[in-house]
Amino acid sequence: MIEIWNWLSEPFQYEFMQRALLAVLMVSAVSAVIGAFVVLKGLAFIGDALAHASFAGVAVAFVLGGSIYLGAMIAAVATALAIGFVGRRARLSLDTAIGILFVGAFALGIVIVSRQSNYTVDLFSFVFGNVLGVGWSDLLLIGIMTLAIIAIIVAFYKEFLFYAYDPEMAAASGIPVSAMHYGLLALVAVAAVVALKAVGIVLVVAMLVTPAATAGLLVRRLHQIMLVGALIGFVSSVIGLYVSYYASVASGASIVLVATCLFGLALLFSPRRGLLVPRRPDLSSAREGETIGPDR
Amino acid sequence: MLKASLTRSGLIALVLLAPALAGSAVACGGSGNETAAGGQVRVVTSLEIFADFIRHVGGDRVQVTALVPGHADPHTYEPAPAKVKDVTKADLVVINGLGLEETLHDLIYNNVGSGVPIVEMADGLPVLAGNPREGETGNPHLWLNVQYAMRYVERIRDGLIAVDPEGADVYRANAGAYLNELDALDKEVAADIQSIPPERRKLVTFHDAYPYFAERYGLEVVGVVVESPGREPSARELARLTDRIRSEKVTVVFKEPEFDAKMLETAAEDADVKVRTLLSGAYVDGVHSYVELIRFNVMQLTAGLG
Amino acid sequence: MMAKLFPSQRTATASDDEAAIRVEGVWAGYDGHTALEDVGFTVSKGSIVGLIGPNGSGKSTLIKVILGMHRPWQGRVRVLGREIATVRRLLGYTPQIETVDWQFPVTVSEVVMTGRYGRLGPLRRPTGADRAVVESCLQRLQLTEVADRQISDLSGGQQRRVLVARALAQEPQVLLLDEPMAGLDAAIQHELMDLFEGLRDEGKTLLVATHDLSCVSGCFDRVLLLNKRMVAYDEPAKVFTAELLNEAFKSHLILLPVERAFYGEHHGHD
Repeated sequence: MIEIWNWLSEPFQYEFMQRALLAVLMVSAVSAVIGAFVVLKGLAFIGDALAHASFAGVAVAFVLGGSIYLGAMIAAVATALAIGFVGRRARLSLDTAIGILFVGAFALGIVIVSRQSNYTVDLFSFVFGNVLGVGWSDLLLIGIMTLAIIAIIVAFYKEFLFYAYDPEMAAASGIPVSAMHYGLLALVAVAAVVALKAVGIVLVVAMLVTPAATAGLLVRRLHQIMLVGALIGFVSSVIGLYVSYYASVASGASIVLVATCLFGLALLFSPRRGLLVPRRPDLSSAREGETIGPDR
Repeated sequence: MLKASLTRSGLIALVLLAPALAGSAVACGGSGNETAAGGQVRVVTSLEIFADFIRHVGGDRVQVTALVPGHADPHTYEPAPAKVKDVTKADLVVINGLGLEETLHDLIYNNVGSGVPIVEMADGLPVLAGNPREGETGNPHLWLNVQYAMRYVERIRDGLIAVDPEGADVYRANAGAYLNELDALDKEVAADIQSIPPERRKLVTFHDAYPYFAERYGLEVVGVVVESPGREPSARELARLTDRIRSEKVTVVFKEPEFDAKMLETAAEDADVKVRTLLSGAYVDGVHSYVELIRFNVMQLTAGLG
Repeated sequence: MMAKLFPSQRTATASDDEAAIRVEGVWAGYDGHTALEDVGFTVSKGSIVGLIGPNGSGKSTLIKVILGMHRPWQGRVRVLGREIATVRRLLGYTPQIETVDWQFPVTVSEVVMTGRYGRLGPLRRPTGADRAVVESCLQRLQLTEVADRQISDLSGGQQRRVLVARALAQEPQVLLLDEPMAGLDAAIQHELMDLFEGLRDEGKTLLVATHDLSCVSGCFDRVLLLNKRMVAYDEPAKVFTAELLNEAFKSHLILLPVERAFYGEHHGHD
């Protein structure tokens, strides 16, 4: 018994593992809360998009000699807002808007970098943050960002809910749906950039989507999806770090693989939507004597 | 409903975190820097070839870890926790500097023990192509010039003496011997390169790792595909490179094993020249040390250009 | 001729302050395309007006103009004698069913509760009073049994009823309903119509947009035939003539010679 306990606690004797755990736990929490919307509103590519878009900001900041971090943040938020704008005005689906804008921003970054004549470090390394390299100041930043974003979502939870399932009616009720539309995208951008620097692109992109998607297979209320998503994120993080430690493999990728496996399990065994669960005919709606389907 | 969910989540979270909390508690008890078994000096460095230098100087007194294994690309490689553990336990950290370890920067600086010296081997040496602005540090590949490699070795020696004064004599002796070996290598390389007719001493490589080597041994860098890491060439640059290959009558271009050399191979095809391999820091079959790496390069150069 | 077509307008001036909705000279559209041409009419309190026209006739636009969701190029709207912005709370609305994301994970009672959000404002949580209103709306629309069901699991008829319940939860004086009965079978349409009549009898005003000329249309107090312009505005019997219907629907309608059945006895037939 002691053996098992030692085995479990050994990795976390090290400060870098403790910091890594704290970092991914916080990133999981904020990612699940925002991720619920990302998954439900078809924004799954946005994490990757914003990471790439931030590269343009990094390049510009570098050229101007300014803070790379700030440049990345500005670029990500600007791209997020542009995505929102194109989605609304050009009446394109959001994923189309995302696809167009992020590649454009990324290419801009590449072009800017390619005009540098002197030997420069690989600016793209900014987006390759490594969870094992997280410092206490990084943790502080992540912590503040996590609390702020979760606070905003909780405070305006019912407004976000309304906007998400019926934006027209929400607008008719006096809710500023425009602000929420852009606001949500901006929140995703901020979360993405802060997490990016700390834990790297692979982890950010995955944590925004996979845990919430897994939760969506298991529960069907928005707040439950957020909570269960966060939990799944936690579980993935913890198991992933153990795997990384004992199998000597990259940490970020390990966490993502665990999260993906959990998704796979949910896909197979979810009581409602599982692929391997025997289908029961849904009799409940038929009880009222109404037809299902053709009416719609 | 909401409360139930929160309580459940909270409990599960606590269960998950218990090991981490326990581990932290254990860690708080002991201090960080017990000496390694056998009392060796623990050194962490970035590339395997630097580890090679350190082993030559340190001998049995040191235990060296290279964060990036021999075959990997330092820009994208992610070290596993075991390696990071070594960083936390290190008595000395040896890096090149000049941005070579950019992606490992946080990993090293956030995890190294307080007061542990970090030796930047390239520090103070004459650097090509750079203003000291953030990121624009100049080309870091000094070690390919064997004379500079000797300076690296001297700094390693001094660094080891500083953390382990008792071993000073051993380090001086080992370093002295190795420096002699490197000096001989330097002359050998110079002679071998001289044997190549001057008009054929033209280098076209994938990435810009050889200016110091070229400067020292009398080669001319005609062009590179990638001027700095992550920087893709424009169409015009690639075309110009191809033109230059032709106009300078370059007969061989050189790729490196850890990078995807598609563009170089394309340029080579267009210009109708052969492709060979040079090493800047990564190992291949049969190459397991710095000296072997340099000799490998020389062989490729003399065979290709001679 | 105009007076004959718009008798309600003629009497409007005498009872201004009783008008639930007054629309005057409205021109509206999108990006250069005109959706409404010079629309003006009055709806008295405590009545049900059917807004009838083919698809694309501007019914939804008109409703949105009245709600203040769409700005007209010209003209003005008064609800209960006041500007829309000041009486927004008293307006209830059901949009067309397609605007809702029916796959979103939310239950029936949560949806009906969102009808209360306009009153609650940000940072406030629903109270017991709100829950009571939601309960009674669910009952009224016979949705109590499915109150905790996901909206993705509802039939078409149930979905409509949920939207109406939500509008009722707003505790409105004036209800604007965009195609609330589209696609429902006749029995359900009758049930809904009974509900509407009940609301009217409580003194509420309803404006129901539909392109469907089924039997219930005969139950409206007045019918506004719309096809960008107003074609007619009067009691159903006077509006449902071949001539007027053709003008409104143009090629959209095939009139069968059983018109008389439109506004005969509408209860107890199938």
